[in-house]
Amino acid sequence: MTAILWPLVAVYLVVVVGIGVWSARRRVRTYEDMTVAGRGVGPFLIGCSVAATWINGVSLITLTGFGKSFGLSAYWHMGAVGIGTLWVGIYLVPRMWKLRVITTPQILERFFGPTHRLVGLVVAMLRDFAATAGTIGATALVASTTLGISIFEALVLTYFVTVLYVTLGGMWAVLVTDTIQFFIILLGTGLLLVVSIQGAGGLGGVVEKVDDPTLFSATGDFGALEIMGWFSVAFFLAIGYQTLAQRAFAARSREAARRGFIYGGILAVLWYIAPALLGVTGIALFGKEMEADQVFLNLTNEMGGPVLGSIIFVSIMSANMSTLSSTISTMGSNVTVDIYQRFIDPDAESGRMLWISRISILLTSVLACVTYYYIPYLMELFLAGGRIVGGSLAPVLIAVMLFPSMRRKGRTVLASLTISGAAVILCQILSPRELKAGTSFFVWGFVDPVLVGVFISLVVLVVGSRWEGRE
Amino acid sequence: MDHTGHGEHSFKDLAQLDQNEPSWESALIGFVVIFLTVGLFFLFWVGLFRLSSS
Repeated sequence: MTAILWPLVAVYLVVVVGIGVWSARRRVRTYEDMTVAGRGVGPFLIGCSVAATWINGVSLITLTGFGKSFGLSAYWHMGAVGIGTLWVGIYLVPRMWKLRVITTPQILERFFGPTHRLVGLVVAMLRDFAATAGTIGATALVASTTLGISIFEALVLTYFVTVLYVTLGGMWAVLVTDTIQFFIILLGTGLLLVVSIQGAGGLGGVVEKVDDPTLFSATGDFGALEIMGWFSVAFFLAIGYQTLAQRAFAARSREAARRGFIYGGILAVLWYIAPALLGVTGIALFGKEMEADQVFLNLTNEMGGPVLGSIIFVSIMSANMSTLSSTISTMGSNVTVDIYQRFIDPDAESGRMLWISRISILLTSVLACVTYYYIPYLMELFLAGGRIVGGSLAPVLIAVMLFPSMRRKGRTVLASLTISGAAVILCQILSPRELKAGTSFFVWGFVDPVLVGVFISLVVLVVGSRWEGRE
Repeated sequence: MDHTGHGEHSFKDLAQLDQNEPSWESALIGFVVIFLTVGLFFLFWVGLFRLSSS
């Protein structure tokens, strides 16, 4: 496979770096060009980029494993983010776009004040830091095993190149490369799906060989309650995901933002069928004994052949790099706008801000890489950050965007953010392993921390706004 | 836009924020409609397997 793989990888890396250089020379003049592509992007780029941001190598490998373990119902685990994206696109994005902000924490200051912004910043950055550090590891591991190179060399090939094109071309480079990456992912997974199902004797052959009706039912072994739990967790995570919201801020108009999110949501709703189906097809081809995490890689090796195998490897690399580029770009924006411009030098001129945003991207990227390798136990904290976004930031965003009266209830909103955030952290610490891994939402009396956070947020927002309204 | 998010735009913008945008009631109905549509699509897709094996 290596003979054809290396040239493909080389072409891909040259193209993405080329886009970074092109964006830097032709598109990036100010820090707004860097962070939100000068607010000049159309719905097509936004839609493809939204879908590519959701799909990463972890979703390909892990969700195919879920498909093998839980059957077609594994779809709800991530298909829900497609529904969340569609809903956010239609009901929250148009209002968010009108605020003309660059980051999500800025929204909180627009309505309330700097304290709200700082709390929102910590939560949002924890999530992006977790996503970055987690994806760095997954990307390097896949590249190192497939290409037969060391982890360090794999890091240079994937992470260094990603950081390079984001630092050069900012959001423009992210959006254009995301779009290319989305089509590579679509080609890779689509072809693998077709050859795998054909290899198992068509859809009928898959059903016959698997011979387990629960794997083909809409709710699987777990039943509707568990499926709804998965759904709710993914839905709220989608709403609070600031990397996604930043694509809306980059849109050239309110309508472009709305349509971009609708396209991206539909693409995600449809694409997430692929891993669940690949998982079930894996059972038909290799039997039930195979380790869940091995199914995707085995399908690639056994069914793909040299050419398709190489395309699929490049598609896994693309999926990871598109997620990485998005999260490091957003973290760079947070440091530039929410920290440097807000608290250090509010009057910095545009040229200086442009360089500050490039340095911020570099610094946060290096920090994420170092954290992953030298202090991996901090990952637990960052993963909790991902859940705080779903359990604490998402309900607040829904409240302030859809309920105008909430925009005058600053203390209630701050209480909701902090109390539900603390509850999510506590639950994350106490949770059994199955909940931490996200393979279950209800174990031994524990409910997923995101749902605990959403419930507490709801109570605090309702009770607090009534109490604050009486004063 | 100024860096604090307040200033020249603040309340004028906020008043315009909800103009021509759907209310929370529409957003709730919209959620149910989107959820049911995707749910039906998923059921249809799962149903394909039953048909293909019979």
